[in-house]
Amino acid sequence: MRVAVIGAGVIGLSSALCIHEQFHGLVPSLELEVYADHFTPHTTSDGAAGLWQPYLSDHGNLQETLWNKETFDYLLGHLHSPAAKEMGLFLLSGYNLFTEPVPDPSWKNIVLGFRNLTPKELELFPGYSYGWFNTALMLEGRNYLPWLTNRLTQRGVKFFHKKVESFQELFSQGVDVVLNCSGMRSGELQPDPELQPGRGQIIKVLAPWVKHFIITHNLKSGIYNSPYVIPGSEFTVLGGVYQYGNWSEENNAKDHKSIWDNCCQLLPALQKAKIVGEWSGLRPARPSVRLERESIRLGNLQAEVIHNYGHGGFGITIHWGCAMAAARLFGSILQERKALGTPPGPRL
Amino acid sequence: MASPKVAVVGAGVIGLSTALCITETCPSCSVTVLSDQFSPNTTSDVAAGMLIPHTYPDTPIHRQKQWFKETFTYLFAISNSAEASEAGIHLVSGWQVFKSTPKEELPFWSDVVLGFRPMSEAELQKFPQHRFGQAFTTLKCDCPPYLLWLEKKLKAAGTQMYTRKVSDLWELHGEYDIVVNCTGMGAHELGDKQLFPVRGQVLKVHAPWVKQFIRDGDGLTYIYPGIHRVTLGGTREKGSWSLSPDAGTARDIFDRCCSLEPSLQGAQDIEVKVGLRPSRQCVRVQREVLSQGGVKLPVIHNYGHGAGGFSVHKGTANEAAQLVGECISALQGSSSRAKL
Repeated sequence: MRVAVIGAGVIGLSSALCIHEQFHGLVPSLELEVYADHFTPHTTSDGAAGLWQPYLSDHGNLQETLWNKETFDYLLGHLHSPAAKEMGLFLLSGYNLFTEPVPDPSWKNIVLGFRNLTPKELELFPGYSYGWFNTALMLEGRNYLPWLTNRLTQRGVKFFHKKVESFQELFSQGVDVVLNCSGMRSGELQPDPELQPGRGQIIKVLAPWVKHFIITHNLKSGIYNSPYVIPGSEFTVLGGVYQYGNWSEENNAKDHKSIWDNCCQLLPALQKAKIVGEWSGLRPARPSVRLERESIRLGNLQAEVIHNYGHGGFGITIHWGCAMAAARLFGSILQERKALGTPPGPRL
Repeated sequence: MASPKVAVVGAGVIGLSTALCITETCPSCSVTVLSDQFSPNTTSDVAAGMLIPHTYPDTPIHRQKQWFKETFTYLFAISNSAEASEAGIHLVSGWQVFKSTPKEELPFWSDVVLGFRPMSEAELQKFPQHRFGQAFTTLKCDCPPYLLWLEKKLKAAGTQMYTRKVSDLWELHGEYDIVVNCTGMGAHELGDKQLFPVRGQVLKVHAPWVKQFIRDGDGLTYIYPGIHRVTLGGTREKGSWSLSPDAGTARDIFDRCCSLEPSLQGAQDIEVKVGLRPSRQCVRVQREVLSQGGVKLPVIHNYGHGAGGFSVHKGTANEAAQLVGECISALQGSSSRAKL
């Protein structure tokens, strides 16, 4: 049973690991392969700061809230394992700031110690009159992706550095199931007008005195179009750009200035921070995550694709819940195939 | 007295902050700092500089709270300014955890720090050996940066600083009009036998993914993330004068901290440091007049802060500076009387 995963970002690698962990014992013939034209550190996941935090509202998408929770709980369970440092996993507390009161988010009981900010805390952030404090997790892509890659390599999963042009291309080579984790460029494999870029830009600085994440929100300009500061293990990420429909992956000078000025206004001490890098990336935005099976008829063969893309600016936040859902879909494919292949008897 | 000459003896956090305070409250004073050690070789440099007060048995609580509040407010303003990184002042959040529920669930300082509240059940799950905890956000003063920043401000205010060991405060009479004794542990040699060392050994490690503090309510085990290094502690060895690091103690500190925060197993560049907390039943902030053969030397004492130096330094500096002001008025009063 040959399974090909397209995409080596957090979604592709974690889906591959989840499937291998659950099924390699049950399916001795399972051969897992990962195809991608970009590997760490050149994926979208590598540019993200790595903070576990969903958007402010799940728009009634309870499934996504559940996947977020599954991811948080899974990561929390790994916090004390010896692998945590290598995974780039650690606890981080911080602030979400608003200019007006807002309803509590869907994830208030998922994170630790969620509470409203006190008046004295708000004194730290002139211009903001309401906010939350909570403890969440950081999962840095620059560490997590290599860790996932190592786990997969140890398990005998093969990696291919190549751009897959079509699902057909893989099926004609004998692949049985394709996992489409191609993120932003899923549209090239199968048109999807609902998938659009949410362009982001970040400045990396050295500001090791910053020990909290600070995310401001401007309800009018929308998510992540307002300054944020996220301290990582090696550098601090300054951001606050979300440009829907902008496909440019070039750093933009105007965006740089607005990120810099806004973040320095938020945290005056940042003026002394040394800039060590800059990056732009495209959040694969979609009204909801596409996580579903698709059967494709190819002559007299039935080929299966499991789509797992469109995670916008919350890929790291939701990844493990989606990986497990993808694994369940894979399980259902296996069940159907076994049912087709076995003689009459008790249904599996 | 046109320009009173004030000598501040001691260049740790107490001496430097007191000197700075005096330059601000008494602009006409000429302030000089004398110390046998300057940063990075003071006791303050070993400390993590966390604003979590120590409780002094014989100082009234309201006075301790006032000192803490003044210190917190002062540092809070700096942490919020462009100078924060240079001064080494930053906010840090975390947990104080207890193996058994403490008698006093609300410490006197709970409304001074930010967001103080009991830990939730979910948060306590991270600490299986502990049954109760408190979560809050406080400030940390990293040394050497904070001391160097104080030195910079002092120089800008015209303060002279000299390396000099003062064996007897009296030796300063004639050279200075007022002496401020911020000698910390040195006050023992100067004659205060109520002062005793409480030896503290710490590890300073590279573990930049540790962004939160964790402190065991017994005060012995703590993890305090600083700007570049995380301080792991510690010990409280009453009466020990040894400044030599002990390898067995280092191992024990590391193990205790790893059991609170397992990821510390991956810590690198471990440095071992020792400091002697200049401890006393109460902090001595007090005027005294030394006198020999008709000559008087006013002394303001400001020492004995033990485990709580950083937490109350600005408050005691303010009080000491006020006492200096009173001294100057007294001197000016008596010199006017002398002229009549």
